[in-house]
Amino acid sequence: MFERATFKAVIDERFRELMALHGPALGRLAGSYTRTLGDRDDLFQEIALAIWQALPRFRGECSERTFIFRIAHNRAIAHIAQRRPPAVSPDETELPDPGPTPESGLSNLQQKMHLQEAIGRLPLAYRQVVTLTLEDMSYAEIAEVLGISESNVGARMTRGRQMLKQMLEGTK
Amino acid sequence: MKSDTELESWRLQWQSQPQVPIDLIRKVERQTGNMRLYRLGEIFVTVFIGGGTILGALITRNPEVALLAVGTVIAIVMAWRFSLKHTRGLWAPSADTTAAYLDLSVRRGRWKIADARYDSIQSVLLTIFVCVVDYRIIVSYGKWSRFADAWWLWIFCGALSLVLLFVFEGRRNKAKTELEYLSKLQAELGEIPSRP
Repeated sequence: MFERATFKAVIDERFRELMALHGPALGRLAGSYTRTLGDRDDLFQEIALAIWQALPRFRGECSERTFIFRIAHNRAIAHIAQRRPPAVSPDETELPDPGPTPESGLSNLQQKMHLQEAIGRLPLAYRQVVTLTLEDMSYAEIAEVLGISESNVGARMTRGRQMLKQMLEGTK
Repeated sequence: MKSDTELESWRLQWQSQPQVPIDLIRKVERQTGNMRLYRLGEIFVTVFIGGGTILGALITRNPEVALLAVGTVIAIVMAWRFSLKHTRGLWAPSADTTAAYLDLSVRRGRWKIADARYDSIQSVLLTIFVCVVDYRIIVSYGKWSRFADAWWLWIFCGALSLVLLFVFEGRRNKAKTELEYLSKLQAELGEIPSRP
């Protein structure tokens, strides 16, 4: 019983460390799968719970980061599957007009928001790869997280980048 | 290489994205835009309606028109007092945090409810006042002699008052529903900011 309590304490401590280290990235990931504050927070809580539950079973078969992001993506997919498709109001079918061209004085905040919104509008398969790449993951790690081949990751990333660039530049 | 620079730029922007969810930022931005339009409307009414009645009183030198001008100006002054008092601190969030944005949305919601109630009362009272004074003005020009002569004016006054009550009550109910949702969200997320 003492060993069990100690093991639990170790897991809890490791969970807190992992959330401190990867929490912001998981929050960004949750934000890329949801559209509203409430949904984002729900998904983030689900991801955190799933990680905490899975942590005792982790045996080092992959890196901790890969392990966590794999859980996060699985939870995010399940979250989307459980929700109704969000109703897109007429004024949300395009990205908000940033005003002047991006080079001519769009504020830093507006640029970040524009990018975040554009990524949120990518098809899921491309969004997954793009967000993980922007979180500094290699193609090999991404392939492991998503359970696809590295060449598939490369192909999705190429196409995802093209679409993202078009959205940000406002071209068809 | 251009593509690497591009990806690096995106990576920096992505990893430093605002903590506040975009939908909340956009909502607050839209509200701020609406508040600015509302304020422009207030200025328009002050200048053209208030100024117009004062000008009318000066030109016609009719005591009833002067009464209309006085009543209109009093109503405008009271409306400005209410507006300035209740929109203080509502123009921008106090910090770049989710808590601050939510708090601003909740306070704006409370303002909308109070504003709708104030508008409904003032607009009905003003409608009745304007109709009565208009009647007196027309009587002063000899057109009517009896209260019943202006039957269509009283019907119009009553109908307009009912419409205004309906419109503002609808606005108030909508604001109440939104406030309930925001307050619940604020409580669930534990995002009540500490206020000095």
